[in-house]
Amino acid sequence: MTKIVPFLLLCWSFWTEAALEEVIKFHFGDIAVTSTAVVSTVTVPLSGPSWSDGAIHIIKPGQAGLYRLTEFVPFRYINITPMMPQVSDPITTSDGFELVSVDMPSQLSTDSNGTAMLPIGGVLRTRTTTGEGYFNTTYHIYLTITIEYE
Amino acid sequence: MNTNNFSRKAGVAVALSAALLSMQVSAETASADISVTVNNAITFVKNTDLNFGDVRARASLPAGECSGLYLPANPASPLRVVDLAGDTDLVNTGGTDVCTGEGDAVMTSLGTTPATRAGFTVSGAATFTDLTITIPETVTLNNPNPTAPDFVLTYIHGYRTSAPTGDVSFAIAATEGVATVTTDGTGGFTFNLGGALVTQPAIATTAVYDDTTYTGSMIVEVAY
Repeated sequence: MTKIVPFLLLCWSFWTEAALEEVIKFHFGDIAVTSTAVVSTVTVPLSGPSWSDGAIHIIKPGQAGLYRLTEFVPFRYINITPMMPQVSDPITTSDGFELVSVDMPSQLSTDSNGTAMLPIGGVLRTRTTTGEGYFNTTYHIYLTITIEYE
Repeated sequence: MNTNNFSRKAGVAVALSAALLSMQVSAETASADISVTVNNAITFVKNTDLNFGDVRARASLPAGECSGLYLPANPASPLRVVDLAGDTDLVNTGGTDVCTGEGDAVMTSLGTTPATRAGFTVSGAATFTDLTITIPETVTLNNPNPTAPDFVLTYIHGYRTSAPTGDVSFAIAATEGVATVTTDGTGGFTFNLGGALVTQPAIATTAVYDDTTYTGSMIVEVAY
């Protein structure tokens, strides 16, 4: 019985799930989309001001996101891979957006607490599917990332 | 003895499996909520109406004869009488002069009610972005009496009153004038519209205006 307890503890530590906590929300800002005739983009880099082209005009600049990865083994490298592209949640009769690239480190190292900070920037592109244009509302894109670790 | 051997083997097996597990690459997925907010609306507010105040007016029956008052959009320039000889552009619409002489037409400001320019504020748009302003080429001001002459507002033009201030140049096409104005760092700007109000250039019945308020609607549009 005394030999079983350490083995169970070993299993417990291995199966602890890592978590992704939002520190700063990744927001592409408030924009106006004045035409769907051209594919337009808005870019939020990890540092520096955001910019747009085509028919996207920035009303309020967005900000890059910052996320905390927790529950990892301390002092380890973890590899980050985004799943691309990602499209916005559909809104009836509205065109959508597509996250076409992300700006983030591909590898991070955890600290003594087993945590690491992940900044995320990226490029969002108009995605004309209905030709109806865009509503005055907030569109959401759920970026799935794969985290690999040893 | 057997128990000890078993214990050693079990211990080795656990350690070995732990070593294998620690060498194994594991992967997990997580999701981040990313958003963008679309706001295509522009806030466009009229602050003041275009009002030429109280005037004395008389039309001239023959075609091509009128008199008028000119209220520049630039607030630094005062209301004045149209000089038909020198202000031909003020009474020209679509390349044609509305009137070329005064005849019996008269129009003067009584000065009892101050004239005001049409003033507008644009806000809530994207910063440093070109917006178009569309205005009509002319507007007719009339009263309910169908036999009385009307007034005609011509040479509608603009002046940007927020920095950088200056004339707003409208390109006249068909019956509309279109100008491009760039928003400032707050996503807006303010501007005035002025024009030349002239007596009706051709009327068959009477040249006498009623003592009443003549009104007209000037549709102004701002868009990306």
